[in-house]
Amino acid sequence: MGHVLLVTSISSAWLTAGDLVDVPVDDGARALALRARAGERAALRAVYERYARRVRRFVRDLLRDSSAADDALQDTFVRVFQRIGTLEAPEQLPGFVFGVARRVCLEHRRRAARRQRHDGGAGVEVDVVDSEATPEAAYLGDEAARALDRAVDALSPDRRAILLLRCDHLLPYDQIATAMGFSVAKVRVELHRARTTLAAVLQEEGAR
Amino acid sequence: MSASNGERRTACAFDLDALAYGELVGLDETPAREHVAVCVRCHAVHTARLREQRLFARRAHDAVDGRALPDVDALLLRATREPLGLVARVRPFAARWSAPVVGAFALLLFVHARRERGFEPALGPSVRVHVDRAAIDESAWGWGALPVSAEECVVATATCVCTTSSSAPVACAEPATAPASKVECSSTRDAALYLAADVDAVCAADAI
Repeated sequence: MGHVLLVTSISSAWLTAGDLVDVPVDDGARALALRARAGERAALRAVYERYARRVRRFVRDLLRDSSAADDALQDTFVRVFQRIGTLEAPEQLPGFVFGVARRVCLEHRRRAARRQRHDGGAGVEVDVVDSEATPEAAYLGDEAARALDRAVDALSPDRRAILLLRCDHLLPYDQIATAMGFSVAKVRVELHRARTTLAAVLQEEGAR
Repeated sequence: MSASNGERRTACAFDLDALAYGELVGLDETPAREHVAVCVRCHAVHTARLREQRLFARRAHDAVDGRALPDVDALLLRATREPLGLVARVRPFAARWSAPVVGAFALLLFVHARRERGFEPALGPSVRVHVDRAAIDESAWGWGALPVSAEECVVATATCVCTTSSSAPVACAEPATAPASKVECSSTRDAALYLAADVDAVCAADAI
């Protein structure tokens, strides 16, 4: 239920016809959200099973810090469980969950910046970014993956979140709008700008 | 997602993003694909989208996290125990600021109570002594010269003797006869004299 494995027909150096792209089709999200909203424990567990790994990847991409991401993941779901009763449109469950995750990340970043200020750190860097590439990129030694990571890191937090929600988590525009608290039109504009920046950074990386 | 719903579809009005991400279904998809095949610009955009999709699919594939997720039951328990929303936000703030606020309030109450009892502690290095206006011999003083400064006011014996910078020492009336209205007179010494005479006099603690 909920996920369709879509075979991409793209000829590419990386993906072949056998590679699968996991496209979430949230046809069951509505029913699940209705049950979870009613406080059904099994449904809340199902929501967790369904979104926890994606949320972990999302918060790790936003925070660029694995341990902070683990904390953010837990905070996200605690808050999702507490507030799912306020979800007005059940079909917006993915946007709701990712929206909570995004807000939790903002709070974590703010706290980290405050701690840094408190510790006497000069020049507060609000956007906490690891200097190293992500572990998976380092492990694979994949320069292209690291270039993409650097390009994604170069985006502002909002644009990074929108780009990741669209390109990595494959959320439709209306769900992204819910997650970000933006209008669909603004999501489109911000996504376009993110893509422009991403292309420019990747081109720059390629030119080196 | 697509330019459907009866609106006139012009060339290059296709949602190439939706096409690339498999969101165009049924009747919308075929004309979009046909258009992409013949339009150079849209073909380039579509190709870029597919490339982007491959990049992120590879990234997501690499980012598969085999670690176990946090225990959902522990999170459900936290969700029921932790305060929600405004309370959660206000609690750390209250914990941090309640003591200083209560302290400041108590200090205000104390100062207010002392004022009510007729004692007005003057703060700061200079000593200010408030004596009844009528404590000064009006005929000898001349109201136009008031108030006098700290250097100008010298207290001798039980009678306040004030001098002004422009005139000879001026004798003031016995403080004990002072009626209501006040004048400011300053002295660095003998402030206790006024208090001892039980006049409506106020002086700084460091002057007593």
